[in-house]
Order: sequence, then structure tokens, then C-alpha cells
Amino acid sequence: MIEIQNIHKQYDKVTAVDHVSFSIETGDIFGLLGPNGAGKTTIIRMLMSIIEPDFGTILLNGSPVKEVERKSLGYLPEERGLYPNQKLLETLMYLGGLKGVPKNRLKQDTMDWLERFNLADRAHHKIQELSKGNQQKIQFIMALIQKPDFVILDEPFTGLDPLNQLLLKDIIEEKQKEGVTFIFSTHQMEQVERLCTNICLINNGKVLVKGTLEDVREKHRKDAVEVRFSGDMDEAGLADFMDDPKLNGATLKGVLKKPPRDFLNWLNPKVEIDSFRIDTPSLEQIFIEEVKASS
Amino acid sequence: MNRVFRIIGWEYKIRVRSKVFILTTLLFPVLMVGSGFLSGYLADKEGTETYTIGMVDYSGIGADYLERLETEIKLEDGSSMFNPTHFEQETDALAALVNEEISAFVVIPEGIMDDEVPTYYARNLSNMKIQSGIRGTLSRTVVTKRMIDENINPILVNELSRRVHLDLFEVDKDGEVEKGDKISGFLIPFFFMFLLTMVIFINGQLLLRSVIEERTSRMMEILLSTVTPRQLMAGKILGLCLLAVTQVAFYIVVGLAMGTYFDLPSMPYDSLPIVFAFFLAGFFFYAAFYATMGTLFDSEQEAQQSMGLLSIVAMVPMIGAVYFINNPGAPITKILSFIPPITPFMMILRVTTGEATTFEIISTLGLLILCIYLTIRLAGKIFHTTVLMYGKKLSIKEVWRWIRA
Repeated sequence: MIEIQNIHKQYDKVTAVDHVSFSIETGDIFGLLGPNGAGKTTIIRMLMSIIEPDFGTILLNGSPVKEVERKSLGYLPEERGLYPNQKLLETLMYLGGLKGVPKNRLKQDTMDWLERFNLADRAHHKIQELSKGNQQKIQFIMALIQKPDFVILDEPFTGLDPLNQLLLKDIIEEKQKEGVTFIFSTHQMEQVERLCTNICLINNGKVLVKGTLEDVREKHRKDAVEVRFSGDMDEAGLADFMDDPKLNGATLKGVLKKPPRDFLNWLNPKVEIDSFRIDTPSLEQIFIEEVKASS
Repeated sequence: MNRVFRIIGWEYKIRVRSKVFILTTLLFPVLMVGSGFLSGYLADKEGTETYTIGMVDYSGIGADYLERLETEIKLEDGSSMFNPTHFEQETDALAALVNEEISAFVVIPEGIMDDEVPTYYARNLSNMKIQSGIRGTLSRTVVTKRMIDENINPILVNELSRRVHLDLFEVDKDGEVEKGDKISGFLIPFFFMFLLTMVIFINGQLLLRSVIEERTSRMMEILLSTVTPRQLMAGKILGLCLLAVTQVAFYIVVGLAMGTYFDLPSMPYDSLPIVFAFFLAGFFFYAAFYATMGTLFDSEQEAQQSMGLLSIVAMVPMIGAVYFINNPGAPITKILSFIPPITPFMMILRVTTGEATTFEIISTLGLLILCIYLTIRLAGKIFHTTVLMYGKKLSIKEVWRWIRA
């Protein structure tokens, strides 16, 4: 379990992270979201012990993050690089060794990963000879090679084609089943909706929204409804149940002021209801709305 | 610690096989030996050329001078170096010079015996060999004439004014006497000092480039998620240090081989451990600076410009090498030995000339180690703060604030 408790980071006059707290359960895929410059990278760097918070605590399974073995953390930074002039296998083995993969397993584990990504035949090629997408796979391998318990992925899907995105997603889900906890930072909201169970949205270093994806959606549900019906209907009485009702032929749209059940009880004797749909806001809509409101 | 060793291994492995390292390491002795051969070849070539020299004489010693000019200075094949020609008028000699019929001409004034100064004309004055030949021969002609005029036998004077030669012996601290020569006294200190200067600059540049590359390629963030900045800096500096040791070992082997082949003075084996200690200390001192500069700048060019001042300081011993080697015990040489950026160079020089006392060796080395400790601490602080700052122009004020923090 990861517990982030009231962390704060200030750079000169800029507050990068402002009293942020959230926790992530073991085996969860957690979405850390926010616009550019929101403070995500600073939080991630503090999680990785690259920088220290001015105050506040980060605990991994109950221990302060600074005391935790670094090999238990895998990291794919957004600003990622490689040694372009060095060979693929050598580079991965160097980083694997540095991250604590035992010597007797190092080569085999590295080759297994390369095979999984169809890169085994390129093992002795220089990294600069690989395509951008393939280089990204190497960086992904770097984050997972030491079999970490916690993995932080900052924009892992950028630059990958749909097939490779799927491959990455499969690996993430497979590792999750093995109990690995993922923190996933991205701007691609559809990926978050597909993968994450919990999210935290931050802006200007502050937490705007946090919780399960379902709860967040529920909280932002505005009860915008669409009713399709048969029969004749006028607008009389509608204002008691709806804001801004729009009646167009056999379709009625609006935002409910009262519980859906009360509205349906009122409507049912008047017309024959063919369909009734409550619009749930997408994560992207929630993101835009929250960020706009906080800016 | 294991991680530091891995970084050392990686840094060493990727640099030792890099083209830049192989080329600079191999090319240096090739260039040194090559330039030696080239200058020897050119000197030999120069020794085969005959020069036609003009002379205008108003003093009456011309005939004797022409004869001496033709007979006294010989080329390797035994022929005369000068082919002298007599001109009646200076204008004729000048015309011949302009028409490239002669290489130069000399005008002997009437009062040359009374110290009136002769004059020399040439299309360019860079050929020292012609000038010294003409001047020497003319001096001997005039001196001989003066002796004859005073009834002194010039042959007897020559015989009596033979030079005295000195056999040179070097005595070490244990009283061991070894035959030496002037060249060995200069060559060995210079060789080691030059080696340190070169190794610092070549490997310092590699270190600087390595840090800048890892920052600009954003590899740094991946590394820092695995190791601490201190481990990374230590691994990089030690890796480059190992590389420098490899380079030095290679040069010493080449030096020994060349020394044996060309019968050059032998290595001062006794002082090698102390030389090595100063060598390592000097390298660490500069390496810490180079690594820090790599974190302060986004381009190699900017970082190099900022290293300029330190580079100039490091060049002081090279610039004054002749004086320092000839005067290893002089107050200025001793004082400079205690200025940390210069200490390793000066002490290598003084140890190899046998002029450093045990107290001086221990105190300067101690001072240098203290400075290395402070430099690495300071560098570590800056490295830790700046290593992940991209594209930000740093002010001296900011850097000073981090150092004090």
C-alpha cells in the first residue's frame, strides 16, 4: 500500500505540491491525473525519492519511502531517454543490474522481455537503430525488469501504435493480477477509464478530486436525462422537475431537479415511455470541468 | 556500493571502446613520436641544402671571409653549405637577391675591425641557419685578423681555449650515484606533468560530455530512480579515473618501450608511487569540477567556456615548465606547490626532480586530499540540486545559495 500524507514542495516562490494526501491499495491501478504543470511529476519524483518533500510523509507498505529498497519501485518517466550509441541488450543488462536483478537471472530475464516485445533479434543492435515505438518498449522493460512491487508509469502509451498499446495494457493487467501496484499518469483519459479503478486529479499542486472512478463519476453526475416517448406532451409542469427542459417532437432533454423515480412517476401517466437514459459524464468532461473551475 | 561498482564498470566499458578514447589515446604517442621523426627528418633535409651567399666588402678581409665561408661549414655529404659570391656594389647584390640568384648577402663595413656593425640582407629573416653561419664565420675571420695584428698565434689560442666538459651524476637520498644527463633531468618531469595535464583534459571532457548527455537525453531521471546522485557522481568519477589509469599505464608502457629503443633516460621507479598518488589526487580534484559543470549547463560548449578559467590555472605549470624544472627548489616553485589546483602538477615535477622533501610531499598531499573532499562535497550539493533542472539559466547567486544550503 502507498500512503501519501500531506506532502508539500515549494520551489522558490512556486508551490509545486500543496498539502497533498491520498492512498493507493496494493494491486490497484491508480490514475494520477492533471494538466501540464499540475505537480504530477513532482509527486512522482518524491515517490521515487529523487527529490524530497519539504514536509509530509510517503509510506510504502508502512515504511518511509526513503528506507524502501529502490528495486521495489519501477519507473517509466515522461522525460525518458536511452543511450543511443549503446547496444540494446547491454543497456538493459546494465540497468537491470543497477536495479538489483541477480546476476544469474539478468541475461535470461532481459532476453525473455525482448522476446515478449519481439525485439530479441535486435538484442545486439544499437538503440539509435530502433524506431521510436521500439525505444519506448525498451523503456517500459526498464521499468519492470527488476520485478518491482510498485510501478510508476508516466504517459506510457504516448507514441505507441494501437497493437503495442494493447500489448502494454495486457502486461499491466497481468502484473496487476500478480499483486503489482501501478500508478499511472497520463492525459489520455480513455486509457484511464479502461485501466484505472481509483484516480486522483490535481491542479496547481492541489487535489481536486479523488476516489474510485465510479464514485467520481457519480459525484459529477448531473442527471442530464434524455427521454424518448410516444404520445402527446406539453411543457406544463415540467419546470417542477427539470431545469432548462427541451421538448423536441418525441424527445425530451433536460437536467433533473428531483430524483429520477419521482420524475418517472409524474411522466408515466402522461405518455408511453420508449426509452429513458441518464447521461454519465466522461472522465474527460470531469477533468475539463474541474480544471477550469480551479484555474 | 555494488551500484557504484556497476556504474564504474559501465562508464569504463563504454568509454574505453569509444572511438574518441581510442583515437586520442593511440594518436598521442604516434603524434609525439611522429613529430620527433618529422623534425629529425626536416633537420636532416635542411642539412643537405646549399645556399648562395653574396658579400660586399669595404674592409679588406673579404677574401679571407669568403674562403672561410666556403670551407668551414660543411654539409653531411662533405660539400660546402655556402656558395659565396663577391659583389663590388651593394646595388648589384640587392638586384641578385631580388632576382633570387642569391639567398642573402652581407655587407662588411670598412671599420669592422673597430666594431663597426656589418649588415645582413635576405628576402626573409627566418632562416637562422644562414644567419648563424654567416655571423659565426665573420666573427672568426675578424677575431683571427685581430690576433694576427697583435702578433698572437691564432692556432695556439684555439688550442688553449678548449672547452671544459662536465660528466653529470645524479645522487639520490640514499647516496646512490647514477650517471645522468641534462635531457633526463628535464624530460622525465616534463613527461609526467604533460601526461597529467593531458589525461585531465581528455578524461575531464569525457566526463563533462557524459553528464551533459545523460541530462539532455533524460537518462538521468531513470538513473536517479535507481541510485542516489552521490552514487551516480562517485561511479562516474571513479569510472573515468579507471579510464585515466588505463591511459597512463598505456603511455608508461609506450614510454618505456620508446625509452629502451631510443636509449632515453630511464623512469624514476622509486618516485613512481608518489607521482601516482599526486596523479590520482589531481585527477579527482578536476573530475569533481567537470562533473559539476556538466550539471550546470545544457550544452558542452557553455560548460567548456565556464571551465576556461580553471583550465588556464591548470596550464600555469606547463607554461612555466622550463623555469620550474630548472629551479625546483625556488621559492615561487615551492609556493605554487601549495595552491591546490596547481599542487599535483608542481609536486609531480618536484618529486621527479628529487627536490621535494618528505614534509612537503605529506603536507601538499594532505592539503590536496582535504580540498578534494571539500570539492566533492560541494560538487555533490550542486549536482543534487541541478541535475534535473533543464533549460534553466543559472546565476552565480543561485549556485552560491545551494552551496550554503
